[in-house]
Amino acid sequence: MIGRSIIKETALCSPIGASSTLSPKGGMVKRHLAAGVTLTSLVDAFSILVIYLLVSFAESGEVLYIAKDMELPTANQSAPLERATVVKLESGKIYIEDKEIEPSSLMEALVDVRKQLAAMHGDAEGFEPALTVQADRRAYYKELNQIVHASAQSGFNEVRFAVLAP
Amino acid sequence: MAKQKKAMDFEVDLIAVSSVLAVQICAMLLTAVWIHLGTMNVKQAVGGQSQAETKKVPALWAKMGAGGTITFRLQDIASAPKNLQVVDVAGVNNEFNLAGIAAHVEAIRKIAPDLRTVLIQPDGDSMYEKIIQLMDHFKSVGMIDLGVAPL
Repeated sequence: MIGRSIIKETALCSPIGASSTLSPKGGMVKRHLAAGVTLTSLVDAFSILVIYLLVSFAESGEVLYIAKDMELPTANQSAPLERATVVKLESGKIYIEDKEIEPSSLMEALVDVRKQLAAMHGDAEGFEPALTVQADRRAYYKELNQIVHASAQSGFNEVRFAVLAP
Repeated sequence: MAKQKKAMDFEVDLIAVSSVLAVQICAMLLTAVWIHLGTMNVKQAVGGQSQAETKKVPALWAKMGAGGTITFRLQDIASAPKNLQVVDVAGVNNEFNLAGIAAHVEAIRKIAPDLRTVLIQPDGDSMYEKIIQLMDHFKSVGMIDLGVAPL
């Protein structure tokens, strides 16, 4: 069985091994130009990398989907990203969790979101509704103002501005 | 005649495994390592509530003006001398004078060591990036409770 194994059939002799002066067959061994790769150690290294990345990825477990032409501002003193309702300002349009909302009905939409959150959490202690605001760094405050104003009016105590952490 | 012993060994094609792992590594490097996302958290200390509902807490107002100028105004800190009640920190080359802001905050905290609240008052033409930069700077000098005022 092992004599016909895929490993034996696909294994290549390394040129270093074939030309070894310590080999009892000396120069009788046919030299191969292709080098063999030990996949076991490669898989080990990859596995360690995957585990390390998974651990760092799971720090908050949250991901924001950022449009190609959107650049977030940078901040050194940022807090880890936590799950909250995402309000996005993109090309002058406002989105709540990727659903476009008319600016005139933003407050009503946020009130609905807040009611849903309150129903989900019940009277849980320490529950403070929060919004994550995602906007381009070049946006003007007059555009963002409607979000800040509507969130305050609809009872969101905390606004979290999404930033890039260096 | 003895039966041939059935082999219990099996082989795993490691090339496929290494390919899957390589794809996973690339995906996670792109999403988790190169792009670190965070948030700048702001308490809604100012906004929709009525004047009566608004808690009177000592705070420092920072009004963003043209050319990086910040006008600081103290709220409910009676012990502060008059020369610190309203102070303009002029910008440098249309940027914030970060050293000047830090020095002013330091001077105020000598009088009010418990002061942690800054309420930022941008104008309509303030860029989002500049507001975040100012918040970041306030946090770095120990003013951790931030608020932003609607227009």
